[in-house]
Amino acid sequence: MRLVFVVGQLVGSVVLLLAFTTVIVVGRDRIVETRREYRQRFAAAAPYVGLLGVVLVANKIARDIGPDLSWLVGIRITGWLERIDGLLLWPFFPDDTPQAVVWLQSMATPELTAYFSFVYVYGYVYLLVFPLVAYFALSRPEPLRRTIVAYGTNYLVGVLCYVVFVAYGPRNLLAEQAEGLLFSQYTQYQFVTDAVNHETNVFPSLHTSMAVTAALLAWTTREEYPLWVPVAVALAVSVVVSTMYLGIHWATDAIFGALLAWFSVRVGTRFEETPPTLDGARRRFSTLLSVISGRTR
Amino acid sequence: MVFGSGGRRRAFLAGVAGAATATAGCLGNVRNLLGRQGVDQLSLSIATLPASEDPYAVRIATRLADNLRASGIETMVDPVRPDVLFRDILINQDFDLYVARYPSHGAPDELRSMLYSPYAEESGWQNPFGFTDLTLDDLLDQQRSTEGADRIGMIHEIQRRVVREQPFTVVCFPDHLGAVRDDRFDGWPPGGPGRPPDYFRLHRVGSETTLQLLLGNDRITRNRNPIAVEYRNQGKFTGLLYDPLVWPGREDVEASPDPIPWLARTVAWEGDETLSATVQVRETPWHDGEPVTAEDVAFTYEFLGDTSLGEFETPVPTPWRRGRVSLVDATDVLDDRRIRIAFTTRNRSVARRALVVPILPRHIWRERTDPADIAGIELGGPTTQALVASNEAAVGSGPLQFVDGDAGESLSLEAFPDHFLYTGRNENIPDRLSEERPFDRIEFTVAPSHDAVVQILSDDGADAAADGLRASVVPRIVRDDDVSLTTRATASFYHIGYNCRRAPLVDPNFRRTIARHIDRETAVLDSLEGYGIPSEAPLKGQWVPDNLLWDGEANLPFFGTDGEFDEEAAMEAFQEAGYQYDGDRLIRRETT
Repeated sequence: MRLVFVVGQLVGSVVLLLAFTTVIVVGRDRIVETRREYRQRFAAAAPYVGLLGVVLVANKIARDIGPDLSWLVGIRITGWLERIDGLLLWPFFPDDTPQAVVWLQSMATPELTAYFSFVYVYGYVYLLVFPLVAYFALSRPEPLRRTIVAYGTNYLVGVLCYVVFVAYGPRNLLAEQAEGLLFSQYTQYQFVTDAVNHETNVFPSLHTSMAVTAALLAWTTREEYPLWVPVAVALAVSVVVSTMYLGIHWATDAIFGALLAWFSVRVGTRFEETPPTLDGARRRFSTLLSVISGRTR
Repeated sequence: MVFGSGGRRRAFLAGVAGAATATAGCLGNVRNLLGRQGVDQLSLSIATLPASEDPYAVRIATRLADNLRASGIETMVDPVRPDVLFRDILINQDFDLYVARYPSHGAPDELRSMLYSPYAEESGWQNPFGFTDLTLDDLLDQQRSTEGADRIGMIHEIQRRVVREQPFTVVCFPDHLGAVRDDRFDGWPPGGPGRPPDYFRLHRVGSETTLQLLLGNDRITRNRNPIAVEYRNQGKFTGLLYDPLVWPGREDVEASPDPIPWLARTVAWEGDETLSATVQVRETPWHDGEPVTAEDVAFTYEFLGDTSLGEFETPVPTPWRRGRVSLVDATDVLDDRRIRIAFTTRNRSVARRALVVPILPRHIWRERTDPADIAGIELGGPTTQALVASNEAAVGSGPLQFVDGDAGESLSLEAFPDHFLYTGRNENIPDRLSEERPFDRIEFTVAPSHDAVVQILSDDGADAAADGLRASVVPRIVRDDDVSLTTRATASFYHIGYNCRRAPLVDPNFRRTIARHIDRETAVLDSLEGYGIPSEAPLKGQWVPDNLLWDGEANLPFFGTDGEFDEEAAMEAFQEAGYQYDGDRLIRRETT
């Protein structure tokens, strides 16, 4: 019940936000055109959507068995993340370097906590969904395909990392200094986050990688949607900061999340003409093998 | 323990050696140097639970780690999921140090389980430290057969030795914090529901017959095996499904906390030199309809002593309640309803501990004696199916029976109508427990956090927290007029456990120096937010010798004052104990 209520609230608010920005950013002409051509556009994106479906199903399975598998075979890196995080601010505070997350939380105010909690939940969903709507409204299919492949790549690599690396976020280790602000202040959101994610899935930060992906993609469509660029960038930065401010992720998670975003957008751009297929993967793999064996010979 | 740059050093030396050979120079010196092993900074890992599971443990662990780092030991805190942590510590014995709560009931005889040398190779809470001390073993055995002031003196001596040798370091006793609503059920004991009999002390206020409780961790929703040590803490929930012969009384609730005869209708004690008891078993069925007999009781003690029932070369005892089972010498089934139990102790109050183990149905558990395997492949180590079974559809004889469960989410239990509490066969049970049936069903729901527990209680979505809550939610509870805070003192304590099988933790002087890195006053004030009491001794009350009663300073005092750590003093102490420093790093010879 509680979960249904919070999710309902989330969906309602995001749909409202989407409708509002669609009218402003996409514009009336494109909406009218899309209504006319939606069949062709679906057809042009269909194989990619199918691919995303496969990724999401794989992701669901991996998340169900992932935590158990990961405790069996994964590498425990919480301690290392803490050590690396402790070094990040060294250039600014060479004498007494604080933990990045602790330093960020030292600036906490109730207003900031409210803002970042809102961004972490609502802003994030909105930032990810809007590109799908907006790019569907474009006559050329490449941006939408690019987006789908980039999102899929994020998930695949992210889930793989979650199995290989087991780690807890700062709120679970630095319990005296860093607070899980989202969950202690806005407990209702925890019913959602707990249903879709697991607390040992912290490295890398998928919130960061998806948000940065959306922002990078916004830059690739700056000609069509110039207004979206500043909105996406501002939101993405806020989401990235929120993951650390709320004590959910280490700064190191966010850094690797951003790298993953960059990689995912590269992959997306590479496959915007033809979708990646199993056959193609096999071909590339055998090419790779022959290159390696050629070199060693 | 990990040593970092040793390999590089050796490679470098090998390069030097190559150059030396080429020039045919001072070969002898190089050979002498190479023959010695390199040195490296000592590194330790502290395993503990993540804050979402136990915020106090991880706070104590991070404080300890900070101070050890200041003393030049590379220390890392490793938060681990509870079942994985307890498997690492209690079964695989794979850890350096850990910080956790010992699920104590406050009985002095528990120290024997914790420290008895012959238990060092077994799995479970019995001697997880791998500690061995022959004199202590003798004392631990003797306290079982003594009574009165002699026994108290012996328990004092045991604890003085524990503090001297430091196989583990006691930090503090936390308070158990509960949150309850009383608009549907009242009569909550201090701290909220604890041991199984507490549930039947409740009183229904309205017409609601389902009791809604919130769990802070999901272990009981995943595993309901009463002897799976990595999932059990004090067996509070499996105790609803499985009956023991006797429940101990509750000192904080009753004036005269007499033991409650439970599955045993009567217990008649006999003998002086060798103690035994004839137990009359109540007429009651298992949840599957089979009758509970004296055979089941005899089977339980035999089975818990060796879950392979003789199929393995060496016995595979239960890892949980092992100490209690070891109090039983032999059983003798007199007839269907009566059994005589002979004890290994002459002390009745110690022997009574043996009666508090879950009685298991023979017809189900005797099938679980085979070696545990995965898809037909036996894994190394003496493990029976009984120890790894998740036992989700538990069949016991308890007042509640399993109905439905969703791993990680929820568990539904229903009152078992044929249980002796409800069928009038309840002689010798205090009236308060059996005069009414307060609820027909209990719904346990896993809440994502302790904050969420309080939130759900505030929204009137449940009646009480089934587990203890963290101190940080106290203001939230107090702010809400409909939810009440209730607390009780506990016998379980936070402690630092050392793996005495590993160097340098094998050295008592090393452990004693580590123990001085923790400031108990600050730990209770900051880490437990004041809800607890510092202690250096593992027991409470009359069992603690005068010199170990907490007076603000430990016998092995903290290096520093008011939580401020004095690393110079600590380094000096390590050096006095024979350890060496290179600058500010504590170094040791490589052991690999």
